[in-house]
Amino acid sequence: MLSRYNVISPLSPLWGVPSNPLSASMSRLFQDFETAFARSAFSPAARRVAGPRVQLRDQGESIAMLADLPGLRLEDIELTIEGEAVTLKTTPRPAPSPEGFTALRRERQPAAVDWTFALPYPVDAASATATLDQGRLSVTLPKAPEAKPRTISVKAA
Amino acid sequence: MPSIQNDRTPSNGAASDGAALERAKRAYWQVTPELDLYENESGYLVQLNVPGASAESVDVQVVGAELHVRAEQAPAEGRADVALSAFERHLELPSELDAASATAQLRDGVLEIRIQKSAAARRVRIPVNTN
Repeated sequence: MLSRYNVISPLSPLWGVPSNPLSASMSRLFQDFETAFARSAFSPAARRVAGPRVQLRDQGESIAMLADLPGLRLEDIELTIEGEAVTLKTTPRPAPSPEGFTALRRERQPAAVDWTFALPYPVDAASATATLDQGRLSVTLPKAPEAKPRTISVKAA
Repeated sequence: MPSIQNDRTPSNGAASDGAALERAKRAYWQVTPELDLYENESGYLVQLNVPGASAESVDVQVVGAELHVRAEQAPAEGRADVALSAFERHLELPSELDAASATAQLRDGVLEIRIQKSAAARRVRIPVNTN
């Protein structure tokens, strides 16, 4: 497998000359190291972020942001727009255990996030709308007027 | 974390009826909702995270000691290209259930189900005679 440690450029005087066993094994060592490092650090599993699912979809004239935040109410959610970034911050209330019951299994985690998303273009904060329906937050971020495409008419000289 | 031996959620998408096939056709994300399970002397309390689920899509069924729950996120008008989730969870509870006593409430994206144990499954104290 080729890597920068063992590729010798055709222009160098060493091209085509069989390398000595020491440098060959050193190159192979770096190859294996590079492969292992790349696989473990950048695999999808290692980069998966825990937390509520958030989708950002570019819908042409606006960006739709949908966040699944079960158990949250209006007062727990804070949404701010700053130029080309939208920040979602939630502070869930700790849910008390129901009275008179013993817990057999507890998988639900409170959806506490403080995430900032970079947007591909500036959005018009004044006309942005957001609704919370059964724990699902739907935000519509319309494109700012300066980011909309404008056709320029070409006149004959 | 207690063991999950009694979790019967089908992992391959197979379902007892054709609803799963319908959902797959509409390209829903198949999501296993997280749950909290509580027990007391007379029954169980189950809380499932189903954010964005529409009330008419929630389907709760009791089969013996198993609870089958399904729900779907409703498509909103004006948002055509959005990924929707379909929630499904099958859970076997430790004792037989009284299906007629079940109540379900959907609030803030959390589905809360209360169900009583069947009369035969309840704890009965037996008096001891000493002569």
